[in-house]
Amino acid sequence: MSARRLFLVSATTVIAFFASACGGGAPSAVTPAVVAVPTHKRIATEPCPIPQEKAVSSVADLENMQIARICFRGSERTSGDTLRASIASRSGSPFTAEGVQKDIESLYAQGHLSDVEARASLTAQGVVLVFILSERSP
Amino acid sequence: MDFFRYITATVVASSLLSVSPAGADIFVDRIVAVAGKHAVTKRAVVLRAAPRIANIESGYKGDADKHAKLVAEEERRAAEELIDDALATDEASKLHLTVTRDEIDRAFRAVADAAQVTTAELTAEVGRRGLTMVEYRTELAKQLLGGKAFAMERAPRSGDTPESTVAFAAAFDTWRLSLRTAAHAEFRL
Repeated sequence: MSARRLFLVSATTVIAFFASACGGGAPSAVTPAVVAVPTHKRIATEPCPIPQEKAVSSVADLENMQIARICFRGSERTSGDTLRASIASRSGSPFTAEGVQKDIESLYAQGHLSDVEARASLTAQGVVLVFILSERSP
Repeated sequence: MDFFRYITATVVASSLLSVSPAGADIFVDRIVAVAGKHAVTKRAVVLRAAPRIANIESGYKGDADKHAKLVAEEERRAAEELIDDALATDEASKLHLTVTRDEIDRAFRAVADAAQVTTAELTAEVGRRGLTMVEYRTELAKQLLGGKAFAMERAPRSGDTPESTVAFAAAFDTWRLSLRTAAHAEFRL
């Protein structure tokens, strides 16, 4: 089997492997999760000019470079400081695509955003990371 | 223009266009699917779909439009799987289920055995796929938690035959789909 096909081993392999060791309980109803239909509202409230000084062609070019600044656009109801406190990326820490992915997941999990996009640029001071937010309707 | 010339031209053009000029920024990641409190990002989808898309591209001889459609289908399927993993993990959390490091180690060895490779080869493939081992082990943990929750709530697996494995997997897929439907998952691919 080629290495590329390794991941074609379905989740069923893992689950079936493990489920044989699982005990069974009484059936119960699955509680439905509720999600509000998101609305897309973008208002730039935190000025965050991006003085890009170096051309970059992909996110990979930024990997592990120091983050110079993090800012947020589109948040009317939550301050930038509060949003910054809710993510793991920090000014001075290394930029990673994995970290940004987790930041987006964390921001969305707070419940008041309907959409999040991350963009970045490279300056002499390091990476400027911008989160573009869409708030849910109140 | 045949397919491969089209792909080459597209790659060259996009590589030229994607070098951002001064004052521009580049895309990093965005949400492409949501369900409940969970968001799935483009990066997660691309990483999950990468092996299947590589398989499509390795022997593809059709036209570019059909190729793009196949890739889009795989990305949609990957997004659905990631949403399902997250929702199944929620169910496990409600049941106070956990997985141990040893259970994840055993699952990792089981995947390697099923693929008939060593754990070192599997580790190398994880890296080639663009995932860290922490991310891959987290994926395994979510799958294990989902399996545990399903076995606990709905259908403890009985027997160890190929038939029982297939039946368990089918019931498990149905259960995951029911979670996704109940959560009103939204896809923005």
